[in-house]
Amino acid sequence: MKLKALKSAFPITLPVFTGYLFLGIGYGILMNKSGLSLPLTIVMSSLVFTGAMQFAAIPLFLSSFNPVSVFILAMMVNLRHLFYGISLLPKYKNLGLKKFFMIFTLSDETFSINVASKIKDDINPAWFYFFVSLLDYLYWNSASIIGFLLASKIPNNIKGIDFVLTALFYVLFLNQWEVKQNRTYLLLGLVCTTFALVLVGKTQFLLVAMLLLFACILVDYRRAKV
Amino acid sequence: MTLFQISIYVGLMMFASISTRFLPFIFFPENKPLPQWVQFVSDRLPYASLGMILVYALKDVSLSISESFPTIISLLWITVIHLRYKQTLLSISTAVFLYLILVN
Repeated sequence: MKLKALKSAFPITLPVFTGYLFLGIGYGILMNKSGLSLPLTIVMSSLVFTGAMQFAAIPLFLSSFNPVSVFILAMMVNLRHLFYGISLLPKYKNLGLKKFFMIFTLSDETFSINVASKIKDDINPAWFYFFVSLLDYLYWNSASIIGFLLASKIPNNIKGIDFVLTALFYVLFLNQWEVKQNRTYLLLGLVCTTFALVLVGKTQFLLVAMLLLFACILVDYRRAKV
Repeated sequence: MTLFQISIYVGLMMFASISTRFLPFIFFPENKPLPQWVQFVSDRLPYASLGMILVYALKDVSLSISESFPTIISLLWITVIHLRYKQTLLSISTAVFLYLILVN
């Protein structure tokens, strides 16, 4: 049962493997070249496990001590996890101990795959979700260690491989687009986030986008109830 | 920075990523039925989130046509080939290949 779920989960994680390998190695190299240590790299990748924040933290480790601004930045970057959690409430249910690991390792990529994948009837969904989480987590952690250890030996990475993650998000988006009733909300996500990006710029747009989206859905709920 | 200060930073970042990941599951434990409005939201939020992630992934793409050309072409390619063949890995790998050729 487990092996079957692993076999069915593995192919869809290949784009994540490619993207994480590229980005994770880049992260490890940058940590090394910034004079930060391997243990710190391992702790960051295994316990913080947030690509965007890990990159943002590198210059912060090298400047003066300012815990308040670090905390605010970390919360801003991670707020989107709240949306992923709420979206997965119905799916991450009755999974036992696996559930803790799956919540702990929730990422943009794992979320997108688990929320958007159609799982075959003969596959246990719980193990499918678990293996997607585990594989993605392992890809990121091993890539950042490899990057750190081989920092001096790895030539300039090929520019643009991280496009694989954008491509993955877009394909998962298109898969959901097939179902007509999903379209309103897929579009709502696009429109609200783009609007927020134009309105407040790259650093804070996610918070604005999330507030907008949440408000729109609640308005829809009230309308549906009347 | 001292090791102590680094540890404070790591602790704060851990708190931020762990708390935001766990909060929804703590607020709405699985042994209780979801309130009606939460059920409504969690039925729709996956799609809104996929739209949000897509924009998030594209946020660094330049607005000038010449610089964003590879991205636009590759996304158009995915649209055509994915709607035709619906093979996730085929769509992604060919699009990345196309993107790399256009960028490098």
